[in-house]
Amino acid sequence: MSAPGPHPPLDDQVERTQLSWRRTALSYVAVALLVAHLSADGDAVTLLVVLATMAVVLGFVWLSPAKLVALDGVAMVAGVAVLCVVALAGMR
Amino acid sequence: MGSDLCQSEVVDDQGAGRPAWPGWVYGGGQDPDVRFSLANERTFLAWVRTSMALLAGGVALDAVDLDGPRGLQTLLAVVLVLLGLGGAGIAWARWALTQRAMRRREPLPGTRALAVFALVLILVAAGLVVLVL
Repeated sequence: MSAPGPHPPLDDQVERTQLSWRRTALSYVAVALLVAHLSADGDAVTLLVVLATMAVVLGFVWLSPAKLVALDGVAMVAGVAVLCVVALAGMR
Repeated sequence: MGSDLCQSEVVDDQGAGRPAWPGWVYGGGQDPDVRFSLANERTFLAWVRTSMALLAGGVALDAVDLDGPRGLQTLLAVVLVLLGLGGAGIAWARWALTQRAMRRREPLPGTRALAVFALVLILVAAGLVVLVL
């Protein structure tokens, strides 16, 4: 095993970044389910919107074979924005 | 993908398969070391996760019943959700500006947004203390 150089190995960097994307995607799923549970309040349309948004974000972020950073980022931010709107609309 | 990237010491964005979109980010300058691009990407994702945590906090705060005034509780919940919304947008803008600056060998953009975030969060925390006590 060679001693670490001045920069961390690139393989590690790529893997860390991939894991970071997946961690963020999983966090998104958790937050989306929380928003759906607490804010949708049985409204089928809102629930459908949240689930559809979640599917789109996961499709972009997790399943895209070539990572398009800017586009995936926009998809993620748009997904968060949808959740924020649903949350604001569902506030008591 | 990773093993291919390790063939050379410095691999640019194009070598990592990054598309040249948006044009105002990738339009000028030279590709930076891919490590810096990846670090910028991870910072963006950390901001997004922070935004989602704020959103979740706002939704959860609205859902619980506290003894304090209901109006203040709703206000704090709305502020948290709006912070989450703003944070996600700022995250992308910050990623793009940083990537652009790295390509052009310019100074990186500042972290003014972080200071504003911290200030608003301090105010929200103070409001929460009022709510709980």
